[in-house]
Amino acid sequence: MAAETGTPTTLTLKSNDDELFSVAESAAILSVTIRNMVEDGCAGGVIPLDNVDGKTLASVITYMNGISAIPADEEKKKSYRDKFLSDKDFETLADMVLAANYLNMSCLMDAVSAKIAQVMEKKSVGWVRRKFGIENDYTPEEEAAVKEEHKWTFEGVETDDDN
Amino acid sequence: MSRTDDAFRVKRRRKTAARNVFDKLPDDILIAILSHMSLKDAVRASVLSHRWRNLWKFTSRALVFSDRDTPTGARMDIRKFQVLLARELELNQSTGLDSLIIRFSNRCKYTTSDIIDDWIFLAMQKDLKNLELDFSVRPRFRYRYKFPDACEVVFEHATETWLCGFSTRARTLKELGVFASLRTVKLVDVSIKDEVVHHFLSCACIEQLCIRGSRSTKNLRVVDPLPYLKQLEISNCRKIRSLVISAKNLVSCTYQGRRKISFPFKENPNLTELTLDGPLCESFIYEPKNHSSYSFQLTDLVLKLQISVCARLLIIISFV
Repeated sequence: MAAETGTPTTLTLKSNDDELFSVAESAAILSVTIRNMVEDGCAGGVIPLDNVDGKTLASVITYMNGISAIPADEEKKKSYRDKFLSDKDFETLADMVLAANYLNMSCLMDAVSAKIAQVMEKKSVGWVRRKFGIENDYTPEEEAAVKEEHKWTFEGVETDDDN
Repeated sequence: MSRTDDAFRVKRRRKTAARNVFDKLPDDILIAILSHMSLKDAVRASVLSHRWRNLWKFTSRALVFSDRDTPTGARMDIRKFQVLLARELELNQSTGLDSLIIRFSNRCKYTTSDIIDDWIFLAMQKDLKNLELDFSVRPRFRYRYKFPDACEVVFEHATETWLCGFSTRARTLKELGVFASLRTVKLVDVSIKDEVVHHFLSCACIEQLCIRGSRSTKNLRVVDPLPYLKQLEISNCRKIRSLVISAKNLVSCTYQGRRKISFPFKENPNLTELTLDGPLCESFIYEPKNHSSYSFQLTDLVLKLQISVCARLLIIISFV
């Protein structure tokens, strides 16, 4: 309504650790979860986002503002996303992908999962385990059996002695 | 006592240092991550731990095959391209398929029809959302890939176990209930029968349909209910006899072709972007009254009027 009269509407979002953030409605509705709340008229007061902490929400809002400021140009949006994610560590990326999933923001969800996938691609099993702290709960026999089953996937991949 | 304590502490510290980032992510998100990798990488992840063992089976990917190398523009030898298609077909049998895009230049008689048929049969068994087959042929080149209709594909390719899930009377795509999740369809220089196009249009989520250069298109009806159809293009279908377009939510429409057809537009209250050439374009200019039912609502209009063999006038009029 207010958008039609020229003043942009602002929404207030609350993280699960009680931090408050204001964000332009036009940027916030990139999240389908928030858009549905706005359309249902539940966005009058503060919108509580129970699954997102303050640090992650701040990051997501930076993304919302950044991406919505770019006009419909897929190339520019893509390069913004790449730049936005380039300096994030895995812990942050994991929080972001959870938040994006909860907020139903497919563009962010896709970008973050693609980024994590890109890191894991073409790497040895041992490298991925160490980098992401994945505990190997296979017995040596089980592991050998799984490897044997998918032998072809190891062709041309960097070898790693302790995997 | 203190030694065990120390040992415990060291162990703990090591554990927190390499904390498993994936622990807090549900399987759905891990599957989304694996879906962004090549199948080979996703399957190899099964060796990581028990949790990862079967996740790749739930992945779904967008496959793009093109015989043209993007940076250099060089074309792959058609036989090599076929080998690539065959190998990938084998690999992608057991996972999901979101999008299938195959582009190649159909420039020799040596055809790839069989392998494309196999791909289409595979796509029929998946919840395919986007389909693009762009087999651009040289002008005057007569061979065109024919999009299979249900009976042909099913009875040539299906195993009995697959078929027993369906009624034995099912003979059409509609009766088989396949391709129900399609959102976008683009077919260039692919001949497709009207029944198959009508089946695509009956899919609940269809948003975009583009048919270019189909020699089997004769009488096409793009008629509601089409709740999500926003973009439509029917171009250069030389044998087309009639076309009816009546879609409440259609925004953008392109019709090109030299063949004279009767006025196709019925009820299209949201149509704002229109591109025309050929006789329909001439009719738009010389018989404006015939088009008055919708012309007032257009915001982007492209008329490709051929005034001589070599000169083409492109008129772009912006109403508003």
